[in-house]
Amino acid sequence: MLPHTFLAALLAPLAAGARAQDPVSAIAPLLKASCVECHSGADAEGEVRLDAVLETKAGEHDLALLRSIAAELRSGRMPPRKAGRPDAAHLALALGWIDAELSRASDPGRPTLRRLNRREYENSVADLCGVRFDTQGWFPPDEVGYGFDSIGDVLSMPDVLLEKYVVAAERIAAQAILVADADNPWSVRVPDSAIVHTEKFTTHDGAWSLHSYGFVGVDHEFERAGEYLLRVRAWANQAGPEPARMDLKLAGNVLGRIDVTAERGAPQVHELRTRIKAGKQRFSVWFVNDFYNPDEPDKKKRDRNLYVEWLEIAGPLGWTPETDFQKQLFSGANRRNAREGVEHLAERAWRRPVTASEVDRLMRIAPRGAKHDRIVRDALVAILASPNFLFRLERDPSNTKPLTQRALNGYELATRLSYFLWSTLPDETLQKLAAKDRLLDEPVLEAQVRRMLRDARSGEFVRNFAGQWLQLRALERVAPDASRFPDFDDALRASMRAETELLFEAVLREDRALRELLDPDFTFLDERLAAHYGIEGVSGPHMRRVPLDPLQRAVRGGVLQQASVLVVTSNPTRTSPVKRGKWVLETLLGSPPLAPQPGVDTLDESPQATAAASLRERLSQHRAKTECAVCHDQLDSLGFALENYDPVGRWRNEADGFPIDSSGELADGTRLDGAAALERKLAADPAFVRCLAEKLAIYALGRGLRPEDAPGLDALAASLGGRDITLQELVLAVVRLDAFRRTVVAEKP
Amino acid sequence: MIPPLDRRTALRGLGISLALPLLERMSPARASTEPAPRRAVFVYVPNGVHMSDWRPRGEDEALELGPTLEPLAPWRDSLLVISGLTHDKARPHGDGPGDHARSAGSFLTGCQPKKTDGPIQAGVSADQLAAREIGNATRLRSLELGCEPGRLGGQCDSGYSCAYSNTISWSSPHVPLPKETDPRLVFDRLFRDDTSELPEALRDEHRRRRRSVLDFVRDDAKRLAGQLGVSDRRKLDEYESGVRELERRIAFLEQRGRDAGFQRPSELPDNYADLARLQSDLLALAFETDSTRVATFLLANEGSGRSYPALGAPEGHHELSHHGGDPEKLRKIAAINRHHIELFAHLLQALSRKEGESTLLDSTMLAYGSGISDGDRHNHDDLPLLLAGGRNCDVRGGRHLRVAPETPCANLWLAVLERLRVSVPALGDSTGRLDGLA
Repeated sequence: MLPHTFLAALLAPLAAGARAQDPVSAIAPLLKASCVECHSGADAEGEVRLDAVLETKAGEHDLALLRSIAAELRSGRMPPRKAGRPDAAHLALALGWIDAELSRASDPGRPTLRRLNRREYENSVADLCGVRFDTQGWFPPDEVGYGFDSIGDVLSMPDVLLEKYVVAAERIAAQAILVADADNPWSVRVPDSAIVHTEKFTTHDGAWSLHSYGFVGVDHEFERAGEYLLRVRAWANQAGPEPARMDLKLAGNVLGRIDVTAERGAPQVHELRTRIKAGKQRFSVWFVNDFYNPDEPDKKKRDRNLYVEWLEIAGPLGWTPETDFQKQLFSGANRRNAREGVEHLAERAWRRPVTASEVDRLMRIAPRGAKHDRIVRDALVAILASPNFLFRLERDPSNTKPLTQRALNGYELATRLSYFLWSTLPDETLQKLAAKDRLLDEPVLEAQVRRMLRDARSGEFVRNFAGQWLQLRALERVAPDASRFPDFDDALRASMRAETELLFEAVLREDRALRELLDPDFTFLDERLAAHYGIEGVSGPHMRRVPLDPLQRAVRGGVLQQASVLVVTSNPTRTSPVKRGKWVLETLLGSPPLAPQPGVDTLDESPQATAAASLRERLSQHRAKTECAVCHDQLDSLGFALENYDPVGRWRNEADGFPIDSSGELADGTRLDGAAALERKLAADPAFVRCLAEKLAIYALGRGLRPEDAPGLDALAASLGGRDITLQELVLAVVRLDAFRRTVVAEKP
Repeated sequence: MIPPLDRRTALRGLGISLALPLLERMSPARASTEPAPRRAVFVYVPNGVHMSDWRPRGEDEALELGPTLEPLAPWRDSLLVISGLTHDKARPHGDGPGDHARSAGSFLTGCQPKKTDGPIQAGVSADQLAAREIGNATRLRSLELGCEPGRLGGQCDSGYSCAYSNTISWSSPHVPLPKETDPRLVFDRLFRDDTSELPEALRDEHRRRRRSVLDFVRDDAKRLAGQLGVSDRRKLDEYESGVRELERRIAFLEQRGRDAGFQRPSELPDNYADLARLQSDLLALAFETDSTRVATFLLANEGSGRSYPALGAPEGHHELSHHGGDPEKLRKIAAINRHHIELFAHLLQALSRKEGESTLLDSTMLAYGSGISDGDRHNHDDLPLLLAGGRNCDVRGGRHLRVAPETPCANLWLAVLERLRVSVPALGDSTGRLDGLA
C-alpha cells in the first residue's frame, strides 16, 4: 500500500541502508514477487524485461529503465491492482536502491546548441534595434520536443530557414537604420487605406482599375518643402490606336502626361520630379483617354483600361528621417562613431564582448567610402545573420578539459536567464553584472531573478512557458462542433486563453503560493467569458480580475475548472474523461500514461450505444479488461471528476440525458467527488511541485531530463519540502540547479 | 483523355493569374526539342484508409477502381495501384506505441525513427536523395508543401517528437524539412525576391551586400566550428549547408532575371479544400516553370485530428480512424479518403497542361499513399499506395500491381528514383528495386 499522497510521494528518502545493499538483494524481492511473472523473457509484457535487471552488474544498469520502474511503482500503476499490492518494505527498499543508483551519476549535462526560436528571435530583434518583426507564418514553425519549442535537439536549421534569416536580417536592418542616397531617396508607398478615388473601383489583380475617365490619388501631408519624386507603377489593357495615357496631378495642376505602354504582368514604374511646398496636397493619377469599341473582332482589344498598382512619394531629396533607434545610437549622450556603433550592436546581439578583429570584419560589409549610417546598417545585416546571433553559443575556454564540469561565465548565465524568463537578450543591467562576474554571487542572482519576474518582459515567460506547459497553445487549433456549440468563436477562444495566462501571471508577479494555480479565490473574466460561465456583473470586453465567492470558487477557482483547459482536453463532439485524465497526469503530475496498444477495442459511440448508457457506464465496461484497466482506472477517475464541464467548458448537470456522476476512486484508493476536490488534492501533492519543477527545468535548459538530473531535482523538492512555496521560489530553485548554472566541457572531434 | 487546360482558367478561380507571354520568358533555357525533365511528387495522407473501399475491384491486372479511387477514373490509364507493400520500420520493434509518428517518419526514409522527444533521427528521404542530384538543375532543389502547420505544443505521439508527424522529407537523418502551408509564401519562394522591385542600380548594390554578408557568416561558422563539440558542430553544419544553398539560388536568380509576371495569391483560402487546391496549382506552376522537379505534399499531418464537417464528419479524423468496426465511422472515414482523392485529382488536372508534345503529367511520377493501412489496427503492411502519371518515365498505368507480402515500400522508392535517373544502391530497409512498374 502506498503512503498518504495519492500518486507519488516517496520523493526524498534515500534509504541509507539501501546504498550498501547489493542490487539483487535490494530489488529482487519486489521484482520476483510482483513483476517478473509478466515482465520477463522474449514475450515480456509491453516489451519491458525486468528479469534482465536481476542479472545486471552494479554500475551497469540502464538508468532510463530504472527511472521508469521507479515512476511506475510510485504512481501505483504497477503492479496492476489485480496482481495485489507489493509489500511496503520491499517497495521502500527497491525505490531507495534505485534512487541511490541514479544519484551516482549526477552531472549538469550539456544542452545541444540551441538556435533562437521564433519568439526569441522576434523579441531579440525588437530589443536590439526597435524593429517589431513578425516571423509568424513566415519562418517555419519551431518543432516541439518534451512539450516545448525551446529544445536544442529538435530546433534544426533547414536550408529554407537560413535563407529566411538572411532576408529577414536585410529587412530588419533597412527598417532600423534609414539610409538615403542620391539613387534612393527616402520614400513612402501609399497604403491602400489612404487611396482616394473618383468612384468605387474594384481592385483587380492587385491593382486599382480605371475603366473610364477617373483618378486614384492620395491626400498627402508633405511635411517639408523640397524636391520630390512622384512614382506610379501601372500597366494597361491596350485597345484602339494609341496607348493608354495618364496625367499626374498635384493640387489640381497637371505635372505631366505619360503614355503607359506596359501590359498585364509587366507593369512599369513612371517617375516625375517636382518641387513641392509643405502642407497637405492631393497627388493623383488620371486616366485620360478611355476607349471602347464593341465592334472590334478581337475581344481583348475592345476596351482600354488603366491599372495602377501603387503610388509612391520619395523625398525631399537630400533629406532622410531618423528612427528612434538611430537617434539613440548616434546622438545625445551616446554619441558614437560608426565603429563604436557596430561594436555596441554586436556586443548586445551576440551577448558577449566582441574582438577588434570581429569589428574590423563587420566594418567591411559596406563598400569602401560609405557614410556611417550605411556602414552600421550593413554591419547589422551581418550581425543578425551570423551564427553568433542565431545560436546561443556556450564556448568552452581553451584551457578546459573535455568532459569535465565548469561553471558558466557571467555572460552565458545572463543569456540563459534572460531567455528563460524573458525570451530575449539580456538587458544592459544583466550585461553589466555579467561583465563584472557579479551574477555568480548568490544574492545578486536572486535579486536579478526577482527583478526579472517583476519586469513586464516576464509576460513572455507566461505566454511561452505557461502557454506550452498547460497546452494553451493548442486552443488555437481546436474546433468544437459548430452545430452543437454555435457560441464558440475566436473571441471566446482568446478570452479563455487570456483567463489562464492572467491567473498564472498574477500568481507569478504577486509572489503567490503555487497552490493558487489550482485553488485561487479570484479569476479573470470579460463579459463573454463571464456569460459563458454564468457569472453575473461583468460587462465590457476587457479582461479584469474578478473575486470568486465560495460557491463560484468551487466551480471556477483553478486551472482545471477553466474553459481553456477543459476545451483543449475535449473531442469536437463530446468530452473525453480519458484526455482530461491524461492531461492531469501529464501536465500536473508528470507521470504520463502509456499509449494504448494498437488494435485495442475502442469505445462504442454508435447512437444506440450512447442512448443505452452514460459515457461513464460505457467507459467502465470498456476498462473491465485488465490490459486497459492498468491505465484507465486512473485516467477515467481523474477525468470523471471534471465531467460537470461540457466540451466547451460550460457547467452541466447531465449529459446525453444521464445525470453527471463526478465521483471516483484514485489508484491509491482515495475517493473524491468533483473538480474542486480534485484540485485541492493535487495542490497538496508533492508530485505537483516536482512536476512543475521538471517542466521548468526542461524549458529553461532546452533539453529533456536524464536520470542524472534526478538527484538535483530530488534535492530541490526536499529543500522546498512540504512548505507552501510560491511560484517565484520555485523558479529561483530551478535557476539554482547545477544543471542551470554549470555545464560539461564538450568533446572536440 | 483530359483536354489540356487553359492556364488562366485553371488558376484564375483561385486567385492566381498569369501572363502568358512572360511565362515563356520564365521558362527554362531548354530547347524545345529536348525531352521534358522527369519529376516526382510524393503525396501523403494520414491515419490509414478504409481498405475495402480503396482496393481495386476484380482479380485481373487490368485496373478496376473501387469507390475511394473513383474520382481518378479520368486518369485510369496512367494509374498504377500497388497492393501489398509494407513499412516494416513503422512497426514498434520494441519501441512500443507511436505508430503515427513512425509511419510518417519512415514513409520515404525506410528507417526506424528514433523514439525520442529530443535528438530526433530517421534517415534521408527518397525525395531528398533525388533533390541532391536532379535538384542541381533547378532554382529550388525541392518543394515541401502541406495544408496543416505543425502542432503547437503538447505531444504528438507517445514520446515521439512532433517533428516526425509533421513532415515526410528529411534532408539528413537529423534534419526534418518544414513544409510550407501558406500558398503566398510558396509563391514567394518560387518567384519573388526582395530585389524584384528595386531599380537596377540598387539591385546590384543589394546583391553585392548579400554576397559580402554571406562571406562574413560563412567565415563566422568556420571559426566557431573549431571551438565547438561534436553535436554542436552538427548544428553549424546545417547552417553552412544553408549558406551554400542560398548562394546557389542567388546565382540562379541572377542568370534568370526578375519577376515572373505571376500574380501572388492575395489571401489565404478560408477552407481546407481550396487551400489544398491552391497548393496543387502552385506545385503545377513550379513544374511548368521548371523551378523544381521534386516535391512532397502532406494533405494532412500524420495523426491529424482535422474534422470534415462538410463531409458530415464533425469528429476528428484520427478519432474516427479508430473505428472499432463501427459501420457509421467507416462510412465517414471512406468519405474523408475519397475527399483526399478528389483533391489529388485536382493536382492531376493541374498537371494535365501541355508540355511540348505531351503534358506535364506524362513526365511526372506522383506517388500517393499512407504509412498506415487500417487506422484502427495500425498495421503497416498491405499499405494503400498508388502511382499516377509518368507515362514518359517508363511507368505503365491502367493496372493493379500485387506484390509479395512484406515487400518493403522502399523498393518502390528505389524504382521511382531509378526512373529519375538517380542511382542509389539502397534506401533504408529496401531489399532491391521493385519490378513491374512498366
